[in-house]
Formats: sequence, C-alpha cells, structure tokens
Amino acid sequence: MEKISLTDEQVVSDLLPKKFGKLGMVWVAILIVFCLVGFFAYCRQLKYGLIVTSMRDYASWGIYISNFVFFVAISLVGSLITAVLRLSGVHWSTPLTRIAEIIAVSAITFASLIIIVDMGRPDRFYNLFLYGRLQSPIIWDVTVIITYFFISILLLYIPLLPDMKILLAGKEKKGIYKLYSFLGSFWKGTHLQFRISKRAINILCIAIVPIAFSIHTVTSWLFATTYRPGWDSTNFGAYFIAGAFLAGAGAVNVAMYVFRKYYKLENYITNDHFDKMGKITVMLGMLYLYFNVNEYLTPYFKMKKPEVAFLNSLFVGQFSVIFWSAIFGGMIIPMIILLFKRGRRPLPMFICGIMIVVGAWFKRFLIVTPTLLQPFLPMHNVPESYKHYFPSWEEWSIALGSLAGALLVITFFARFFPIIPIQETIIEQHEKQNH
Amino acid sequence: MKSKIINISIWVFLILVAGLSVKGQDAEKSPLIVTLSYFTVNNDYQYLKVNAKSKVEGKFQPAAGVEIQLYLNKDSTGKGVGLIGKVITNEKGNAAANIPPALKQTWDLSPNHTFVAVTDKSKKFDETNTDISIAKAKITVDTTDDKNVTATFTEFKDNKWVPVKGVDIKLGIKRLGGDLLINDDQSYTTDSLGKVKGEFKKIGMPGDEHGNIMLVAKVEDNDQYGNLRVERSEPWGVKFVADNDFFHRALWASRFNSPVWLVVIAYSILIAVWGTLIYLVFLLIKIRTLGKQEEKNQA
Repeated sequence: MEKISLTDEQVVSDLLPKKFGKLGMVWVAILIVFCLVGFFAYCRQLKYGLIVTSMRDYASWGIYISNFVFFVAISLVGSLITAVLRLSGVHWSTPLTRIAEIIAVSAITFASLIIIVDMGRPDRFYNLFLYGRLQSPIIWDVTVIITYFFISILLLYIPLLPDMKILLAGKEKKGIYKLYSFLGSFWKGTHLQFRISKRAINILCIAIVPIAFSIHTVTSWLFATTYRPGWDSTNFGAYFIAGAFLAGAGAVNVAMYVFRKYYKLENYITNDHFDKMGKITVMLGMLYLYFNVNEYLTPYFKMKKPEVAFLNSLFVGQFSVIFWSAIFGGMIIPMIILLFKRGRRPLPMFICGIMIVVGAWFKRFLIVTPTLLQPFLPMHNVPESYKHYFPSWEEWSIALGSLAGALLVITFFARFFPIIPIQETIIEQHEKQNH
Repeated sequence: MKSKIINISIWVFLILVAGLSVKGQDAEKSPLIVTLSYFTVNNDYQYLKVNAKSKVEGKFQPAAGVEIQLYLNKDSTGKGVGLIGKVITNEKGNAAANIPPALKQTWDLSPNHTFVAVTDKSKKFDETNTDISIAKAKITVDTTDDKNVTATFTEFKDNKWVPVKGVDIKLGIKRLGGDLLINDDQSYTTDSLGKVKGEFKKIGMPGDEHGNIMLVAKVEDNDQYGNLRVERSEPWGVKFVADNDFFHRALWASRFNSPVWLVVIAYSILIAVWGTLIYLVFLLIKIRTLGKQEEKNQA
C-alpha cells in the first residue's frame, strides 16, 4: 500500500463519497417520485398505445424525440472535458473530468431508453437488429449510440480504478465494498498498471472524439436526410455538434456548482475553474450562435414559398415565444453575462448554466416539432387536433421522468464513487509541490 | 267589422291553400330514367350495364341506391321473364350484371333477345320499365405477317353466321388508359362480306415481356347489336424489359443490396472502432491479470 501523506489524507477525506444529508434525501425522493410518475405514464402508454400521447399523423415526433436529441447533446460533454482538454494538455480540468463523464454516461443511457419509449411497439425493437438496413440513418444512429455508450463507460471506469484502491483501503468486503471489490480490487497501483491504464486512457481520449462527433452528426442526419422545411440543411451536422458542446458545457457548469456547494469542494472546484469554464462556454455559445445565424438567416432572406409558413411560425407565429426565449435566454443573455469576470463567478455561472440547459431543451423541441407541423403539402381533411401539438400529461411525465432518471444516476454515482478523481488530484498536488 | 273578419279569413284560407299546393309540388317525384346497354366480350361473355339518373333542380343527377331487376326477354304484356338478377346502382348511378349460366338455354333458343330493366315504386321514384332489343352477332379478327388486320362482322341468322354490311368497327390496341387506334382511321365500315381491313402502323409500342400487344376490334353503341369487343394478342410490340432498381445495389434497395461503397465504409469504421474498443478491453484484462499476479506475489 502506498504511503499517504497528511495532505493526501486530507484530499482523500474531502473527496471520498459521503452519505446523503437531509437535503440529499429530499432531492433523491423528489427524483424518485418523478421517475415513478413517468413509469406509471409509460405503463399507460404500453397498455393503451401511443394514442395517449398528442402525437398524430403530422406531429409524429414530439417531446420524446426532442428529449432524445437533448440527451445526445448533453452526452457530448464527456468528450469535450475529458478528451479534448486532456489531449490539449490542459490540466486544470482534472476535477471536472468525472463529473463530465458521469453526465455523458447517464445522458446516453437515457437517450437510448427514450428512443424505445417513442416506439409504439417496443417489443418489436429486436427487429431493428434482425432486419435493419445499413442504408438507414436510424441504423447508423443505433450503432453509434451503442458504441458511444460503451466507450463512455470505459472512459468513466478506467480512470476510476486507482480510486477503487482508496475506496477499499482497510474496509471489509461488505455491502457497497463488495461492488468496489468486484470493480477494482485487482488495482494494485503498480508501475505497469499505471502505464497500461495511461495508455488505455490516451487511446480512449483519441477514439471518443470522432465517435462523439459521429453520434451528433448522425443524429442530425436523422433530420437532414429527410426533405422537410427546416431540416433540409447541409449545415445540420456542424450545427448539432456546436449546440451539443454548448448544452454539455452548461450542464457541467450546473453540476460543478451543485457538487461544490453540496460536498464543500471549494478547494478542488475553485473560482478559477468557473472562470475558465465560463470562457469556454462563451466561446461555444458564440460558435452555436454563428450556426444559428446560418441556419435561420439565409432561409429567412430567401423566404422560399414552401418554407414561409415554417419560418413565420418560428419568428412571429405560434412558436415565436419559445424560439426567441431559447435564442436570447439560452444563448445571448448567458453569453453576455459570462463575458464579464464577475459573471464567471460560481453563482452566475450556475444560473447561466441553467438557462443554457433549459434553452437547449426547448431548442431541440423547436428543431423537431414546428417542421412536422408545417409540411410542404398543406394538411387537408384531417381532424383539427392533427394540426397542433401540445404534449399530453403522459408525455410530460415520461419526459420529466427520464430527466429525473438521468439526474438520479448522477446523484447515486456521486453517493458511491468519488466525483473528483482522488488519485489524479493527489498526483497533481505532488507535482505542484515538486515544482 | 264582420266584413273585415270575412276578408281576413279568405286571405288565410288562400295562403293555406297556396302553401299546401307548394308542399304538394315539393312532394312530386322526379322521373327516373334507366338506360340499358348490352356488351359482349370475345364473343363468349355477355353482360349488361345499367344507368339510372333523375332530374334534380333542372339537372340530371345519378340516382344511387336504386334497385333494378334485369330480365332476359319479356312476355306479351311487356313483363320481363327470365330473371338475370337484381342490381343496386352505385354513387354514379351505374350497375352491371352478367347473364347467368342458368339462362343459357333461353339465350341459345333465339338469335334476338330483349333485355328488360324494371324498378319498383319507391319513396323517391315511380316504377319504370325499360327494354332494349339486340341481335346476336360476333366479330372475328385475322392478321397477316405484314401487320394487316382484318375484322369480320357476322350476325346469327337462320341458324348460321351471316356477314353484315355497313357496321362501323374500330380497330385499335389495348393500352392502360383505353384503346389506341392502329392508324389514323377512326373507324371502318364493313363491306358486303362483313369485313374491314386496317394496317397496323403503331410500330414501336411497348408490349409485354414477349413483345405481345393486344389488338382490339370493337363495335360501340350499335342500335341493333349493342357493344361488341374482341381482343387478340400479336407480337407486334417492343419487348418490355423491367428496369427494377429494387433488386440492384442502391440506397433505397433492400438490406441485402446496400451499395458496395457503403458496406465497405460502414464495416471498415465498425471494425476499426470496435477493434480499438476490444483492444481496450484486452488492456483492462491485462491490468486485472497484473493485479492478481501482484496479489499472489504479496501472498
């Protein structure tokens, strides 16, 4: 067993997972209630079919698909914080890597689940694998989601191995320690193990970037390969990736604040981290705004007749309030706040993060639904309800339940595993002291 | 005062009478017009088409849902005998009925027949009785190698088939939307031998997979013989070669016909990515094995 200095002991004591306090219990209880209501609503959907939703012939994709795209977007943060920053030689992001990775894992898990929820007959899901066509973007999406899930799990698990040894130190193999033992009792911290682990993490960091880009590009192609107003764009892949980076960064900002506040991690997630993440968020916000301008300004300038109804519904019509709220509330206002140093302090960062994440969710809704309600051919001889879409309570419950589920996974992970890498923090502190 | 009451009473009476009279006019039934047409196809299949219409607000409108009884021949009082069947008109006022095999004996007995269409009295229409008379006739078609078509029109008379002069026959080829004439002549009139001749000039018409096209000789709306149509297959068309991309490799083809470039790219990416992931799992196993070995060494 390696020698742990007093400072190291302090680090270990600060970063070891802690039991939920009263607030934590209330938080978990609320999330569980949301999940249960969502599960009940899904049972109703299974029993009565998709008729319990407000989706009809035209708006055949509703908030389930918006939610799916949102989860996929959020999951990109794993590759941003862990891979892109690590490969760029940035060390300050070390305390944020595990937060980013667990967000990525939980988001991609619920992205997979929500897509099954959108199926009228989930019991036939296996047919996708039996009879799927390689030419279909849906098959590409399923393949890339499975791959991304697997690689995200590896990127979460391999850097966690050294911390397993710390978690198991001197403990009897009972309860949760059985799980720790199963997951990492073989980690002895030998030089060779570290070398192999470092190599594996480097390979993962390189591999996850193109896969993360693929998952977002392929998800965008689910829309862009369909000829409809608003989706018929060659810009969609890059537009989705830019949006995903921003949404993911927003989610990390929120998580950073919550974990720092709740677990009293001020020594590890410092104001400097918020400042740097704030700058990254502004850059990503500008990038996404640039793509938004491309995505909406050029069609607006041309105002092609088949797209007039769609564009008007966004700019001045029934979706205009959501549209402008998402643009200003989810992008422009947070960017302006974060441009100032005072705006990059923890609390403003948390508020901006919330605005970005909520704006990102509604932005996905705006990508999916208005297009479906403004088809090229006018709607004739259909019931009035087919011409509008407002989610039913079952849809809201399932969507909120899935969001609560994703948060629950993150919450339980933080309860049982160190949310900031202990071993890496110790090594970095030693390196600092040596320098 | 008394005369005023009498005056008002007279006016009320007149208005009531006028009202009743108008109501009576409304209740009057519009006349139902039933039209019968006789058809024979390839000289062996006979059927009747019937159309019902009535005048509504000065315009002829199809009479839908009218039940019509169809008979083969009628008795001396004009009443139909030999029930062909009962039909009900569709939304276009049309209905059709085949002459059933049960009436074959009656059909064979005479060279001339009368078809009778009878509708009963209903809430909307009065009863009607319509008939048409036809003489049995047939068309035979012959062709020559130089793509000439000869059609012969004969009538069944005195127990034999007799050529008929002066009947208009159209010669054409059967297409999807109707018949296309074989040349620029609209129709031909039979000579004393009952024959007409036409030259097939529609060269290069798409046929079936063997190049067969269907020649048609027909008589339309003839007062004496009704509608006759004979078809004959000839290999005068261009062979049809199905151009079905569904069985070729394409983005829209079945799953076993993905384009080669897509298969190569997709599987190359899959192998590369999953190969890397499998290698990572292998590294993980290696870390595990090293740990177990270290544990043994320590023990």
